[in-house]
Amino acid sequence: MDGLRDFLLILDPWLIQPFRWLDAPMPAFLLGIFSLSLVCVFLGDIASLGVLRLNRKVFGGYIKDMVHHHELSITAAKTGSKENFKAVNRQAHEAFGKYFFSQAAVFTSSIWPVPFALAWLDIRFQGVLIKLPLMDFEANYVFFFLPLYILARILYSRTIGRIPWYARMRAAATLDIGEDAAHSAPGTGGGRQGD
Amino acid sequence: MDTKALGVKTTKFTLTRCEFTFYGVEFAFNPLIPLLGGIVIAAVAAFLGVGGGFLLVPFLTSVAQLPMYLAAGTSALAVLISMITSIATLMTKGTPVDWSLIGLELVGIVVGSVIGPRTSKYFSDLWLKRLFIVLSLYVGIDYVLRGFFNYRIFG
Repeated sequence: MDGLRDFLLILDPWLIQPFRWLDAPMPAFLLGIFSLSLVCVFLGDIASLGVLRLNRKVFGGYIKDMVHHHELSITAAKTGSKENFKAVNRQAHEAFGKYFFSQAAVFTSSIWPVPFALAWLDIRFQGVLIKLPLMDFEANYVFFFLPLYILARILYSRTIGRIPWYARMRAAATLDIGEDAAHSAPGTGGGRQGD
Repeated sequence: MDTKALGVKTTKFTLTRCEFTFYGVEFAFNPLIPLLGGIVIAAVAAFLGVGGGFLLVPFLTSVAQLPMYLAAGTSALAVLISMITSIATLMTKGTPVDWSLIGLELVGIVVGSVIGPRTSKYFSDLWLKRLFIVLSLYVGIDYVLRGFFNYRIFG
């Protein structure tokens, strides 16, 4: 892992800059972490869109399979036959399993920069404990990074789609999948699985 | 027909029996079984450091015979709750973590998530499941031998 540490140290002069934009220490720290989070979200989004784009036909097939078997299971349920429903429902579960793990892979692709960001934060802020105001509690960099990353992800997903070139890129990546199904990538609307 | 009025409807819920209908089909299960099963699965997941979802979903489908979306959604919520406690511990206790190792693992997952779907058509589902069973058995037996007999299968 020394090579990785060396690589992070090469990036260090750029990564530390947002932490120096403000004079007050706490706001500067939070701004620096938020900026780092935004970079992580963006890089992760590019990776997840790449995964979607390269596998859109396969993922589209999973979705069609899942919906088809789910509708069959509803039809079987409406006939009143529990055995038919169980048999078809089992196939629906299999189809859903493939779809579910494909979306899990897309989401995992979107968070690949996070551990590297935390590794760099560990180099810079290891052992640094920050006392929270009005509370008898000291927290490390992880405590601040995770909520700010989630916030950055939500804000990113709500705003990036308004940029025309990004919207075109996302549309090309999700062509055979559909907007609703590609919700595990960061730039596809907040409040859903994977965001 | 008003399909929104169908869906899952709980008709009876006691300590030992839960009855519900799904599109008119009746289902029933003993609530104590998922309760105890959830405790065991959560404990095993905590011991091994895994999410537990891969155990919860087959457990829910075999015990409660839940329709697809319900089993997946229910197990996802259960895993989320256990993950929240783990993350809260990480955030507050400062658990030492090798972030670089995790990052490399994620890069591997990204590569695998590109290669896997594109090559899945060349492999039989049945043989992939059998391979997964063999690997799972190996990991399980290795854990048992290490834990009880201090013996490693390899190394």
